[in-house]
Amino acid sequence: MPRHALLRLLQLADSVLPIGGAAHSFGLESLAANGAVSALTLEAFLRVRIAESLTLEAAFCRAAALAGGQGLDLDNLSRQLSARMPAREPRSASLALGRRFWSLFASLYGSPLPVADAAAIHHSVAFGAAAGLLTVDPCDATLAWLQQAVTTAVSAATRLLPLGQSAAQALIWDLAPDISAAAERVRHAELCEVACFTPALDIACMTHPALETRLFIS
Amino acid sequence: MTSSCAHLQLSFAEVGGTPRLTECLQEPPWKVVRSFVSADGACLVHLHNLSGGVLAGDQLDLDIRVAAGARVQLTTAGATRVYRANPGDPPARQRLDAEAGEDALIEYLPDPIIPFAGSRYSQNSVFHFARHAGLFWWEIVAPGRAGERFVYRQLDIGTEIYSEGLPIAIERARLDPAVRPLDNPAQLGRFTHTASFFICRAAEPASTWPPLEAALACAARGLASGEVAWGVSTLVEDGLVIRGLATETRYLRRGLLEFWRLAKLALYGAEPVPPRKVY
Repeated sequence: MPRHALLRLLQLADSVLPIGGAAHSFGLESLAANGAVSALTLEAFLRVRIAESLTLEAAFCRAAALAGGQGLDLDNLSRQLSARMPAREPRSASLALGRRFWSLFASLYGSPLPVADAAAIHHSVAFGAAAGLLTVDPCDATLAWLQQAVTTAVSAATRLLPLGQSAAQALIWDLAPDISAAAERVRHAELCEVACFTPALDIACMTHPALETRLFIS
Repeated sequence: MTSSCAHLQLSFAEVGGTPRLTECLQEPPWKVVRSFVSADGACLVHLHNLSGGVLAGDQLDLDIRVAAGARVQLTTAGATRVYRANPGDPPARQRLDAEAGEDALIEYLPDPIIPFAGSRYSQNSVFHFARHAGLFWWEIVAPGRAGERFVYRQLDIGTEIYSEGLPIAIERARLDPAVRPLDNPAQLGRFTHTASFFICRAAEPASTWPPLEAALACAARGLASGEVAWGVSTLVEDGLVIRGLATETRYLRRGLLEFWRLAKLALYGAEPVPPRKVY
């Protein structure tokens, strides 16, 4: 991988990338509101989220990165992932982030993308496809996608829970082995084998629209 | 008792304007005694497992074919009890493959899955729907039999629902509570029992689902208590899913019956007819 590709991967995984990631909590706002997640239980919650729902999305990121832009059917991959995301809000959020990411990446890439455009594209799929086009190693792409997802989740937590910036950074630091383990799991798994069981998080996402006051879109 | 490899194949079709069980190929421990015509004109079948439960190493296959226009309701004669496996035993497996033709309806309302201590169970359920075909299907998973809580070894439950060939719901849950406890805020929290209820109808206008989601979500808020939590969401297309978590099965059953009633009225303009059993 050329060094400038690593720099571009880091840029695309940065939480300040202007695609709207800061507007979504992916169910955490509901769980914080009903007391199911506190500053004390946040780490345990994130470990399970990494092992379950983020691992599932990471598998799709890897699948897109593996294709390396060759014969990649972004619509089909995104369709498959949509069917695996039962709750409407996070599904829509992932598609909104993916659409903005892909549009931004296309403008940065500088030449026509050698991939058919997609009507709907999830963030993890778009990220993986972009990494593939940059010839980034699929494992590195998966790690970077997971890292930005965890960073985004912890950032949301700092606005929902009594969690300081230093504690937030320590938390992200401590979750690195979990991220690494998730990336390793998807390296050895077919898409159809990746499991995800998060009914309480699903319900939190499904009940989010009914919260009286909301900081986040999801 | 020894494990079984058994196949049950059921085919349904409209005969003279009445849905009938037209084919029933069964191998023990599967048993279907007969079909009934329910009060709403659907063909009702009770699925029996003569073993009383699923044994380690069992491979139980169930194929259901519902021809165009036929309406079918399937239920079980009792809970799916998954018995203890000895170390080294293969998991018990159950596979369901269901196909519904145009305008057909499948209402599949099984009793809960109860994994006993030390059990290993793998289940895969696949539904294919043609244009305007419908599905009401719930699944309840208990934490174990009375006095047991999460002492089974592994549950692996897969679901695939395809509407006119396109996937609208794909799930795979792998529960290994001894290695990864489930009492965390993303999975079960303070609850012990789970339910999923899929309500689908192929080629229904997209505008059908948001108001139905809103109506069911309103009902979900009314049903929620310290003993049960519910969530409702539209699927990517052609359907809804309802998730439930509870401290006991009865709270889930009560809610599922109400959701079924509301959704059946909205989609088919008719009250559902629960199978002949006590809820």
